Amino acid sequence: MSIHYILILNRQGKTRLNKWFNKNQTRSEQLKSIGEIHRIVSSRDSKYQSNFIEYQQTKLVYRRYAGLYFIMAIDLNDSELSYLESLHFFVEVLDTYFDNVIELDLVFNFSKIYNIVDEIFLGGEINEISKSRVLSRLTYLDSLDVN
Amino acid sequence: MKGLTQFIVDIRNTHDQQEEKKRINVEVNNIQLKFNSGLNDYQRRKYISKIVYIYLLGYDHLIEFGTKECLQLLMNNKVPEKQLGYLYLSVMIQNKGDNEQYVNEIFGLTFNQLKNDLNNKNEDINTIAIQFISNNLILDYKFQQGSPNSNDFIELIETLYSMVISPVNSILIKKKAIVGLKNLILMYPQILDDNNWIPRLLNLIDNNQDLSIILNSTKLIEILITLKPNYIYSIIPSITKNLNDLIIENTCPKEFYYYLIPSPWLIIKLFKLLEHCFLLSNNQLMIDDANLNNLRQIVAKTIQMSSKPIKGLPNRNSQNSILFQAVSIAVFLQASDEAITGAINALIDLLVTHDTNTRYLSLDVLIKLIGRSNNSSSSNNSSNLIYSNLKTILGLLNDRDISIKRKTLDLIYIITNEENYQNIINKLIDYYPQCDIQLKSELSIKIAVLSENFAQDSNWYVNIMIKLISIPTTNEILNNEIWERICQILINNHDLHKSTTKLIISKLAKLIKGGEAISNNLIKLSSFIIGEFGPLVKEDYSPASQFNLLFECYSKVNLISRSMILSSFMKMLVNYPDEDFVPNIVDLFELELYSLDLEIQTRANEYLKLFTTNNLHLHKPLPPFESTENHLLSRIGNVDKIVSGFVNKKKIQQSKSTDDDPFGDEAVPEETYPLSPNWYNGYVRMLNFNAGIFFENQLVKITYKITRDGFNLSYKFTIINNSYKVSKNNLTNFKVLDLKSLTNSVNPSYLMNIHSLPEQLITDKSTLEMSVKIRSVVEIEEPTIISLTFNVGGSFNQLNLKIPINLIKTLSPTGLKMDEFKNRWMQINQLLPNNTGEHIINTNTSIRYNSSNIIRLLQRLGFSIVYENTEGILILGAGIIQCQNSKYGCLVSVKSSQDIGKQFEIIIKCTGGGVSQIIASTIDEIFQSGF
Repeated sequence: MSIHYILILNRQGKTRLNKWFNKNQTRSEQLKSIGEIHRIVSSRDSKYQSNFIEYQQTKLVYRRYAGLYFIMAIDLNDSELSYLESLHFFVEVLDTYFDNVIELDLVFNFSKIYNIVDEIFLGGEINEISKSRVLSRLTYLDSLDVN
Repeated sequence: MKGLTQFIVDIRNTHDQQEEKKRINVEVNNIQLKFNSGLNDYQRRKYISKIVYIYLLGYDHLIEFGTKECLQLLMNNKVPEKQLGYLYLSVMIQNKGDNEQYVNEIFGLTFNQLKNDLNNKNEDINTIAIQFISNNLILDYKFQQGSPNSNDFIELIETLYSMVISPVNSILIKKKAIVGLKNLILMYPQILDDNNWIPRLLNLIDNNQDLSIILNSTKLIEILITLKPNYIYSIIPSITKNLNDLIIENTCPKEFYYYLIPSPWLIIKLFKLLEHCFLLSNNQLMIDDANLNNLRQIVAKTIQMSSKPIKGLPNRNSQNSILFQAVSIAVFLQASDEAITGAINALIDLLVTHDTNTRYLSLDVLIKLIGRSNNSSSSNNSSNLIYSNLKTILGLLNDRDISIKRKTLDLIYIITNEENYQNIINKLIDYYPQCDIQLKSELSIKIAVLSENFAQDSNWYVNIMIKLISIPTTNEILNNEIWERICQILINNHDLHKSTTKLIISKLAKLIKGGEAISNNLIKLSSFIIGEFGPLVKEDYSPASQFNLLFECYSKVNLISRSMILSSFMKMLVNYPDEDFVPNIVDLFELELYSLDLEIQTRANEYLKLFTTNNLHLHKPLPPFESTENHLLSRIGNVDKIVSGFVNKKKIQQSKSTDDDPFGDEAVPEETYPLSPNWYNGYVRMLNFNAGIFFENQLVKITYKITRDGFNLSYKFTIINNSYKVSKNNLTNFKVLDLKSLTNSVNPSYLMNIHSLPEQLITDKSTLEMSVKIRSVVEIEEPTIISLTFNVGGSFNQLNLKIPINLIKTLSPTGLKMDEFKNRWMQINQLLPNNTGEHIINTNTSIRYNSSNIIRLLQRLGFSIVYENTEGILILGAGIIQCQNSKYGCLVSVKSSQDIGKQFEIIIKCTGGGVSQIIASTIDEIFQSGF
């Protein structure tokens, strides 16, 4: 697996997305990691420090968008920039889908976020890299939801 | 959903954790009540959604119910219901620390549902089930045949495989099934031994596939070739072709452009896969000239593109990620030293840019460039080039980002060599006190390993090590390995005992006199050394002075160090029973009987007992260490792994039971291919003729032409599309899957090289050229098997054909007179005893030959005819067999005296032992099959 997990945390450390691919870890290990990661990432300086830091035999690749940290743990031998950019791709998809996404969109549509993740990242890998394909698939899935 | 929204709002309005918990508890009770009272679809969805939200907030321990409702949700064939159902399952089924239990839980709860959903006619439902499998079965767990659920597991994996290769499935299904298949194969690699799946799966990366399919297949194929490295070669053309389109042609379908760059993620994945191919084959990867040149162009173009103006951050990140990836594989493409130097200089310039990410990545690539140079001289050149910029590099150790500092240490570590180690190590020791706490341990281990690796003078080594461990730090516990390693080295090197002991005593004395802080690690080492080797230096330092040194430190050091000093004192009691300080030691032991520390109390008690019961003789000096293994290496950090790209075959392979593999070595089972029907005709034709048809069926015809130049043979195959005439079909995905020479790999009798590969798409025809260099005697059972795969229409085809690589192909005529022939004929038997120079075969043929047939055959094979008798048949011939390493004279006699033309006696004599038998058997095979 290239991506061990994807997290969206807000500045206070509240989890907005927790997509854990690496099933070797238990839930309590996950919760512990989330706390540690929030401490590490939120204490780093965005201007003078890189978007990468090693953590537990993975590399965290992260970027802050407004009040939210988008974080991904990737294999130590994977390309940092490429995954950093895939986070940006994810954000762009969210932004188009929600028409200027804000944190509340993620809160109130939390289960939809999981569906969006499934269209971009799957089983620890980048699954789709065409924005138009992702968006048209999401539109199609919405059309099936009559409620 | 109003209720859900209200719940979320309520939670958001809580003021503190306490209130939040309370609100959630209320909700959990409420949901539990509702679940017991029966729900409609809408309500079920609402409450399950609430549970998922509670989980997201981290309160999942409160929820241990709802399975029934969830399964009901799953049975609903509406897509949103099913999505939520599977989401809930993946939230609810957690690994509780036992992988097997986790897997069993997943299968127990979901297998039947998954099976139904995978077989559902609705593609959206299939997709949701595939997603669940792909996302939730990623763990280090290997199924064994016969383990619980293994039948269900195999059914799943087979279903996914057929989804992947089916020509009718949509791209959506395929791209998701590939990921699931990959994850499941990792849990049961055995499946690849039981089925011939790989050839078809390798086609997923071919140039005619959709880009999403190629993207997803890269990781799958990486795993396949790790398990079966013999397939590495076959995918290089596809990787190259795809990269060529994206980088040289600079094009891809419109929807895959990302900020003006054609599919950057795919480029990275392809580069990564290529890198993996090189690393797997230990830099021995044989690439044909055309593809190698193409790859070099691709890397050159990438570097060139990086100087283009950048339009915004996403553009720059994508551009740079491609650049860094390309440079890290440049070393593998036999790039010239100038090219490497140029790249290193460019990267060194980048080390001072303002962008932190760029500095970080430049360091990373530099590490790879140096670590992967395949010969030491170019690696030394590169190291020296970086060393000449040491000031810049050392500056990065004070960067504000710890990630940069860590990478910098890795780079410094890897550029250290015999010439620069002293300076580098001194610089690192100077840096040690100001180094970040998190990096201190890693730094000190690096210093220790480098000193040990490069030290030419053992006293220098000891000096440096003492200097290193004398530096006081706050988390010294971490660094026990270092003084332990020094002890290990000291004990095994007698000549160091005396000098080291002197050194350490004077160091300690100096520190105490100056009232300086003494590091615990230094004390641990000192107390050990003084205890063990103190008596060796009692002329220079009296026992009393040695005792006083340790005694003075006793109160200033931590508990572990104290317990070590106690051991030294015990040794002193043994070594100097009559010294004045003996009562002091005994007093200390008695005092420490009341210590609060268990370890100290125990030691004091035991040592005191030894003393009072007169049992001190029980103490024996330490025996030398039997293992010289350096445990420091396991804590050196990731630098070696970065260089080797984290290639870990063992982790992927299925663990075999110990019976099968008693030595646990990684012998990869050889792939065996059943030869295709009708292979033999082409094989024997190739022995006989230098041009002709190698293979033919309705779909394809392969002709060949062999040209010979001494021991160099070149083979040109032409692959002709037979099916085009009949059905207008192209041959697609044409691959040389494997070219497997059955010669000994350590000292091969011949070397094979492919110069050009056929096109992947063949409308009319395409060629494959290879050359063979015969180094030494090739045995009959050392041919080459070529495996070709291709698609026609929707069907997949594989051909496995045997190419004879035969000594007889190196035969060239030699003019010999009859009397010379006779002389040599006799000589060979004298030269080579036990008839090893001679081989006789009596053979019957089905066709009748006359002497001119046989003369033509022998001449065609490369003999010159010395004598022919037209009555009856007796033909004598002579030739020279030429290998790279030696030449052999070869004489032939073909005689037919009874049933003339059908019954033959063939005698071969050859100056090389055993060679005559090979030639005779070959000629016999030609006689038998007809010519």
